Amino acid sequence: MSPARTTTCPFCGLLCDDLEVDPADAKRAPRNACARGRDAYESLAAVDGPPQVAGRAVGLDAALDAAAALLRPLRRPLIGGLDVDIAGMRAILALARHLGAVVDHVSAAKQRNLRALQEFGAITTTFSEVRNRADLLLLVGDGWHRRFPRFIERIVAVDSDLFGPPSRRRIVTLNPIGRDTKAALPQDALHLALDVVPEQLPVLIGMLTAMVDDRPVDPRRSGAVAPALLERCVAWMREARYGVVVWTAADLEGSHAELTVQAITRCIRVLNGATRFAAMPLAGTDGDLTANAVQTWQSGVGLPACYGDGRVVADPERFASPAVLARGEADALIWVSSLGQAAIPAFDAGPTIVFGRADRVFDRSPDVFVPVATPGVDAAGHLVRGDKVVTLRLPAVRASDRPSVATALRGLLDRLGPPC
Amino acid sequence: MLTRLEGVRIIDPAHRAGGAVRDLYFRDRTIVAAPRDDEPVDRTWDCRGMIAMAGAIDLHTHIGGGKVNLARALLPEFAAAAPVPATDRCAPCTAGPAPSALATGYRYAAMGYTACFEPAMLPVNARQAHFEMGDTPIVDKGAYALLGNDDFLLRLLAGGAERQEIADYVGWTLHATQAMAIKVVNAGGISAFKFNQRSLDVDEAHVHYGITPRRVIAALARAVHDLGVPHPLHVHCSNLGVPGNVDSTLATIEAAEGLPIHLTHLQFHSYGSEGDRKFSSAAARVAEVVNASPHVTVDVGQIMFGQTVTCSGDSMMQHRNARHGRPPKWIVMDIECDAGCGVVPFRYRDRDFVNALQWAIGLELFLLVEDPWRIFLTTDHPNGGPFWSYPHLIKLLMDRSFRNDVLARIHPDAAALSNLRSITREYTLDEIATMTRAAPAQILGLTDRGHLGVGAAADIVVYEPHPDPEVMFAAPRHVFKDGVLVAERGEIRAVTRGSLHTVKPDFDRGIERKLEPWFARYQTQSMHSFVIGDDEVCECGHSARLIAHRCVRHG
Amino acid sequence: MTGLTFELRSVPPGIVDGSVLQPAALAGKSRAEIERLPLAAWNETLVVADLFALKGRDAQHVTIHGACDRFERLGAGLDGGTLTVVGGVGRYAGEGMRRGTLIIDGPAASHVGAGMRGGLIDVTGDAGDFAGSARPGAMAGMAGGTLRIRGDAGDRAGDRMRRGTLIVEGAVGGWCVSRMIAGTALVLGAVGPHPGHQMRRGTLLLDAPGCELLPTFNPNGRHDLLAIRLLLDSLAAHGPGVADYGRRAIGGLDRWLGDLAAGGQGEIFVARS
Ligand code: SF4
Ligand SMILES: [Zn+2]
Repeated sequence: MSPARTTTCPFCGLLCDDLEVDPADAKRAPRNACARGRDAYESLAAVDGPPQVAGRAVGLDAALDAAAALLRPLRRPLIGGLDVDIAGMRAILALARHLGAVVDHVSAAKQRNLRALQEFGAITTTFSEVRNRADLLLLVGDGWHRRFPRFIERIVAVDSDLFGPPSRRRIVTLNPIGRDTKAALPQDALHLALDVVPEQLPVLIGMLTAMVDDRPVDPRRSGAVAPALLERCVAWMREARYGVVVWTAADLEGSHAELTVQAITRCIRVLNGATRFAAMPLAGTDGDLTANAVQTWQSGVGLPACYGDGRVVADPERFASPAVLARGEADALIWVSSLGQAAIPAFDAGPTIVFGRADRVFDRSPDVFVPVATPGVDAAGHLVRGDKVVTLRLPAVRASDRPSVATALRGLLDRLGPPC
Repeated sequence: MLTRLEGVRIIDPAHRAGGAVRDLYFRDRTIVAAPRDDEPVDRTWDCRGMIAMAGAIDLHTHIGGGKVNLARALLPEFAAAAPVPATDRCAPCTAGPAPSALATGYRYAAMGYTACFEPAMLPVNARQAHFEMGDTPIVDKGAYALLGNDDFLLRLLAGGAERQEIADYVGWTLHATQAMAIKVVNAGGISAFKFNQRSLDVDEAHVHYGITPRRVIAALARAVHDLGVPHPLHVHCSNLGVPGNVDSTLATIEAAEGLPIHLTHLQFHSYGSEGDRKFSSAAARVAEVVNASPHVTVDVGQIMFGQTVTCSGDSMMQHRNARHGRPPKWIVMDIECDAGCGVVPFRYRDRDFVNALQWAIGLELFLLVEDPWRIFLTTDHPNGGPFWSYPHLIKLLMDRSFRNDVLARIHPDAAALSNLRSITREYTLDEIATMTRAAPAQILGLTDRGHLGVGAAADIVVYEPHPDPEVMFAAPRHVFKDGVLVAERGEIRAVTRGSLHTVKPDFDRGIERKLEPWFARYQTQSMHSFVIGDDEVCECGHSARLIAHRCVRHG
Repeated sequence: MTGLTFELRSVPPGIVDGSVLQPAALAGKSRAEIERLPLAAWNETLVVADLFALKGRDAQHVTIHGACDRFERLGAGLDGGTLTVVGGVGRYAGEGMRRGTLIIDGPAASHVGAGMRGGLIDVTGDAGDFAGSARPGAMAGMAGGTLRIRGDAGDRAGDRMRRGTLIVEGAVGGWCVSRMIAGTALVLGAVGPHPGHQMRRGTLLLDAPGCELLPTFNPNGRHDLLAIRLLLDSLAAHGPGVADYGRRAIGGLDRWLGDLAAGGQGEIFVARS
């Protein structure tokens, strides 16, 4: 039997690269994938539909011809989705420049981390540092388990002896977590549960910051947590040699969550006066980091952005796709999405053209649907991992004739011809 | 296609051609000898009265990779204020303090630069760096891989590894990351910062590994030399920006034990601690040692007044210096038991004593280091200032009265503490061409760049002479990249893809028997995921050409 | 000479940048020139005549009739003169203005007075979020002048504010004066959750007895400070509500110091009922 080929899973920001493809049956989900990954691999293997125009099966060329014909007279297309690989994002930006489009990624939560970074800064760390170095973890919400299923297994529940004999990690959970989530924590870790309701998180962070900064606050006034628990948490934070605060932006409550991210960062800044502490804002799922990275290096500004009138302007409020759609400003919706299955917004003001995962199902057929290859499954691709620093190449696990996003969009661009 | 540049004055220090007027020919992408009389010339450019130089080469400019992209993300307000609108050739983008990849390529090319080297590629971030460089149009690129704070090397050294094994690991890193050279940043210090050590001098021991920066530098300089990598070990010294750091800098030169070594952004490492403010220029001391040490090359990292952003692998020093940053927002990262980074915006002000003296120290270095073959023109873009300030910097070097005018406007105490006013040297055109073309090509091992000899790449810049060198260098009349006219008078005429330069050293693949389990045990990606293949790296650059330079092994 | 007036004739298909409709940009221009001035939109540039009919001459007194929230940056960078907008305005009205008066006779969308440095903005209706704040990424919000909102303001009023005076006669949403650096904000109506969050310095005056403050603000007793009296005296001209607050403050205001999570040098004063 030939050895199992390893591959890298594209279905959350962890990009686990220890998956093993069954050499006898590339359609089976690779070994080591979590349930989330398995479901996605299997769902993609089960379908094999052709492109469609108005719900009718056509060839790729006909679909691209139809898309080009629809788009040619329009001036204000919105390109949404953007859950794609690097090559796909490069192609999206080429298309956006050509059309003068607005581009926005489907996940709005990522803005929270970016806004805090832009208005305060960041002190962050990466997976291997957490794995080998962190002796204290403060876990916000439960996204570290629910949204990143193998985070604990691969990063935390590992006894690293890189810097000496492994020691028991201390883990503080800040918000209530379910039984399953709790069971995922490493058995031998020392666990402190603060269990504040999510709305109280900013208050808790403020209190912890003031306490580690030796400010004269009264822990009894925090209300949400027993003072003794607060004191214990503060003691752990001070004793840590390398503490890490882990959150996923989507877990943070409310519309001004970037303030909470900033509050956490401020706390980490204070702690770094005496010891080492860093943040681990888990992200990367559905290519959110990838899309923003490519946009940022090519144009110098982030997402969402508008490429209208030979300029590029970023504006997180004005060009957020829900706002653009609510104003009825767009005259076409181009949805490009090779990784996730987020719902495509309803759109009536013009054509909807979808470059989507092959297993996408529609309530209402879009004007054009081009099933595209999912990077890491039907085609090779590159994605930025959830800690922002590592970019991995995801090999294809099986042969497929689905075009990659880059190939499909290049086909569309060729048909659109020179800009008017 | 055969092209003639007619009647052009040749400034080509590599061939000691300082000012001869003749026709210069290139066929397709290569410079050729004058053709036989009967051979037809396809295109002739009338360059009479103009000056030709080889395309300029920036051997130290932060153009791509995670920390540059973080710097872009950090400062949206400056990017919004610096739009670069689309033209019929160029895509719209922005050029804030950390300019977009597109603007970087356009502006370098428009200024007559045809090759740029990213000096601080973290091995774990190499793919992203290659993608960003791949999206930087027109110019050639290459990158130096960062070592010296990675746990694998520090463990090898602490365990007393053989010289051979270290060379193999360094060779493997060059191979795996598609790098062009090796750089060390604050040797051991970035790692030490993760263990909460806040400073690390050249002979101080790392709290965990017990080894000193001196040992790290010696081992890496030796390995780079043994592998025969053309570019010597590229060193960002310890104690960046700290008053009195001149001693660390001189100790670093010693640490190389006579092997070739390149000290980068020397300006940030030439500080004394004299005077009322405990901050003084040590440029003269440093220059004296550099002048007497033929194995040492340097680049300056001149600061320019205005807003910029510093992006460095040196998380230890960036964290320490962050409180001086403006606007007050900054990023520090610990990275993958491999490296770190820090991004801190700075607004250098001529009326600020420290900034003014930093400015003067940079110029002192330029003027006191005698050999233009061993000192290179950099602002450590964007750390000291943007690369598009080079024409201004050239004017400061070539025009003493201009320099003294600026000197009269800076903080008077800084001006008084500097001996700049007494330095009469003015750079000649030939010397400028040396430090921006011939010398960087030589120190990087780019045999077919940086000169106008037969067989060289047709990377050629044609300038209209102008009494003001700033005007002349800002917008050359013609820029040819690999024989293609890419820019004229500061405007982009064609957007090409530059090539990627790498090296292919010989090393024993047996090192992978150690690396593979190390990755499996401590990293969060496998060794196989880490390695970037030739095809893959070309794909990062939109099917860029890969130019792999040979290494001649010594050890 | 009658003021220059712009009458909206047709609503633009999307957001346009209206910053050109203000005294400095209009002064000395003929009617034809004004009609050709550009209004940047998403993927096209409209001109004034596409949307507006013009009347009057005096560019020091400009009035826009019928504007709505599709017009952004009205009065941005205003450097003197008067701009009156009847109807609503889009985001960033009066952004970065230095001098003069911007009267918004109607509601303002988010970021009214963002980064303003001087002059007066008077909003007769409600304002959206981030009144007196700044663009995403900028480090400081309004740095001078007076921003008066006669209706309610949304969340984050005075966010990152650095100098100047913000007066909200109605209620404010959550996170009022979040991250305030300095300056003065006075809120006469109800206050939403988390006022003063990460406030570093500066003064917030509230008329919301018993309102809940963050536990990282410490009570500091009741004070009748001369500085506050003088301040309120100077603001009394901004309407009877402000004047009444000033009178009640004479008996003393409850002072809280914080946010201790951010250095804690800010102060919140609360009037008793
Ligand atoms: S944790 Fe994420 S990357 Fe890993 S297997 Fe599951 S979905 Fe895939
Ligand atoms: Zn540098």
